Amino acid sequence: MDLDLAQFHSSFFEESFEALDGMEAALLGLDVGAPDPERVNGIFRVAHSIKGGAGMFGFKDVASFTHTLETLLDELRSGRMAVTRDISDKLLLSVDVMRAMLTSVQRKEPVDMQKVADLQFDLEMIVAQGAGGAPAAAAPAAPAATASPAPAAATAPAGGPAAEGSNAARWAIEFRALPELLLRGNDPIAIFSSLAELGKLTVVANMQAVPRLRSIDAERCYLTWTLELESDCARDQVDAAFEWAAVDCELTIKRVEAGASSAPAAVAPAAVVEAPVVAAPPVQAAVAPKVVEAAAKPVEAAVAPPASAAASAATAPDATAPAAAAPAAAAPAPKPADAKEPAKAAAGGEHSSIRVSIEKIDELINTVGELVITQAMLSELGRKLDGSVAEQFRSGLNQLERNMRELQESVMRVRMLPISFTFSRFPRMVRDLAQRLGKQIELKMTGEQTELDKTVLEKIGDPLVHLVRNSIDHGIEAPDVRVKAGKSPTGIVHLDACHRGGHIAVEIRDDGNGLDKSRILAKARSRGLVGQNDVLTDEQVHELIFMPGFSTAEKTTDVSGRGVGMDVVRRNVKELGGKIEIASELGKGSRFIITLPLTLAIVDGQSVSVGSETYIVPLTSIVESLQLQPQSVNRLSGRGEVFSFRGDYLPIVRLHELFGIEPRATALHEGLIVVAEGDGRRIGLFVDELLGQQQVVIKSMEANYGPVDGVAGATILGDGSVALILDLSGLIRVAAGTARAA
Amino acid sequence: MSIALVLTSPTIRTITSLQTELAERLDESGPLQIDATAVDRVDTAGLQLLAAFVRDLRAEARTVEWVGCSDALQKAARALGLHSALCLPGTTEPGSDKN
Repeated sequence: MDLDLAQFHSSFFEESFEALDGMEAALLGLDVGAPDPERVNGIFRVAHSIKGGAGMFGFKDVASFTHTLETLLDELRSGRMAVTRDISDKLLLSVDVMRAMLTSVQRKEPVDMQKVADLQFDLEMIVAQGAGGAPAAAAPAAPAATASPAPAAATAPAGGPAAEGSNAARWAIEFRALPELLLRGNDPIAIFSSLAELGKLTVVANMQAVPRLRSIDAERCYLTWTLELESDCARDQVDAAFEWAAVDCELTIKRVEAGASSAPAAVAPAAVVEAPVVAAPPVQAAVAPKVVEAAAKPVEAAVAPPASAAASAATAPDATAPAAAAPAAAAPAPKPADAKEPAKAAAGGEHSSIRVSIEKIDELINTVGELVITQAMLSELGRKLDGSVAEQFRSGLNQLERNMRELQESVMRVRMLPISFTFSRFPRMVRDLAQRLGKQIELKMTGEQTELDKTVLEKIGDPLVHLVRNSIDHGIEAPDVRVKAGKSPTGIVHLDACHRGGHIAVEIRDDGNGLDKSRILAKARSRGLVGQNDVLTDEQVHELIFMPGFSTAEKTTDVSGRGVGMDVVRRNVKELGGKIEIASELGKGSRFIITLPLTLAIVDGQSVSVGSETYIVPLTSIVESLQLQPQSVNRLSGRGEVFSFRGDYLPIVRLHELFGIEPRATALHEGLIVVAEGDGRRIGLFVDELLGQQQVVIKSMEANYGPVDGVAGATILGDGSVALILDLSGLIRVAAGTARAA
Repeated sequence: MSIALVLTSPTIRTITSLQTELAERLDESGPLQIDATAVDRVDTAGLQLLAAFVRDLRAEARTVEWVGCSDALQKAARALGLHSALCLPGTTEPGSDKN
């Protein structure tokens, strides 16, 4: 069916990508051999809803691929096939392929069909072999099924999609759309079509509520439907058809037993349905979560109270089942607490969050930034006023300032996301890498809920990937080497994030071999980076690995060893206003600690004056401020002025010379020196005086003017004047350039 | 006999103009012919409106004759259980072949 749904594509993509992330996480946690049935079910539902959406929007390739995937998953969740390592790998590959397909479709680019077709073929082969071959090591998910001689017992509740009409059970469905259903692109035509795939569907439309043509709100759905589906399918298959519309409709789904139908064979399937419920608690456990899930949907809960949902899911209303009814009905109660599927709960219609485009938020932040500036201007003005009203005015301004600060903080928080968004890619990566390198690695993650600005979060992803990759490739040793060293054969890579005094610290820790300082030093010497007789501190040795092109890996793998990476890591971290530290002990492991600012939009700055101008020096770059005595300054030929600072000689950069300003003081002892650092180097900035410390909102130079070396951005001060925010790394480069030129 | 109502794509995108057009048709008198041969897209909003239209016509004792009906419309009407409400030709009638 060709529907006009283009405007809903973006939410389909967003939701699908999210669902795929969830599916990937679930797959990674899947135990080969004894998978958690609810987990398998969750994975199945992702494939199913993507298939549904893709079908509805006419993305045929995606729908076709997910259909094949769904078939395999259906075999797995019904226990007809066992989850093997190969299958789990193929499923993970499927996540990649689906992501790639959806990305291509979203960008309206051609899909790499060869890859898709290859994998689809593999999946079909797995299903074909599974169906013809061994019946899945007798469904480890449901041990009780092995006790039952009939393998069909396991298959019945999940059901094959093609139900034979005559002896199939019936589902009675009442469907009433809520006003927004059609506007959200949920079309009953598509929903009913997917139901029709499950079996024989009879649709009766009720037009009673449809007003006269002239008074119809044409975008609203007034029709209600009574549907009857003849199918042996499982309840969640029926649910799945309504999944996309769940929040926009009132739905009752009841199972009518097959007993009523005429076929004598009807007794058998009915008995099969009961069997696992009565005799096999593990299978019942597999059924119970579905019940919970149904009850957890607010829409459904309104129509079908949990008790009746439980009853309908447990089915078996006849005499053989009374014992089963009790536990099945009791099951929902404790379960909702550990509902493991947040995505599902969200789809269930709790309007606890909304999607907002990042542009809108940035616009909001920008406006708040402007407000802060206006408020600062008013405060400035307020100080100059006198008279009786002035006092009231000032107290009003104080109130305004407090409110502004709160507003600014709240708005900033909107941009904050938990670091789990970045961490979530690691389980997969670690698993794949470990497999490829033949290592055993356990990934631990803590502090995933630590929140970070979205931009910082996006930019920190790649550096973290490099570091984790390095830990796995260089840090963690091969299992036999580890055993010889008296360690467990499984190495541990630990990712941790936490708040640390207005900053976020992200730590990558491994219990591998640690950095081998002698090897690093030997390598550095052989490349002439370090003199043969130079003695380096640990920190200086660690610094070496951040040199471009530095690698001690004996052979270049496709994982790492080309020496690109650590310098890029450091540069990225620096660009974010953060820093990276290393702690390492040979034989014990390494720790890489990245410290990042909470946000990029505000900086804590020290304002300094130079002539009539004000500059902001980020507080994080300031080491100390001091007044120089004339005798402590030396002139070096070609390097300008230097002064002695704690055993080091630091160059002096006169800001007024750099920026071409008429200063108030030219003699060094008349002004002040701000010792600041950038890129691991320190300089003394010569300024007229220090003004005060304040938080400033960064305005981009690139966006409003153009990039300026040595300047990170600009801000507007309380008096309305513009102050440049200094970028120390850039400034040091510029200063070095001018010093050489001089 | 009035001029046949020609449908193209009765979907939620075009629903407002369709509603206006159908309301005007309600003011006419006599039997109405609907030509849905060219309907390639249709959705629930479109079919709901058409069903209300057909019902209101019949309430005024006017008759509806489909002079052509595309597969897309037939399928969608059947999927929604609105086939008879729309007085669509039965499956045996070659409705979609006519023009």
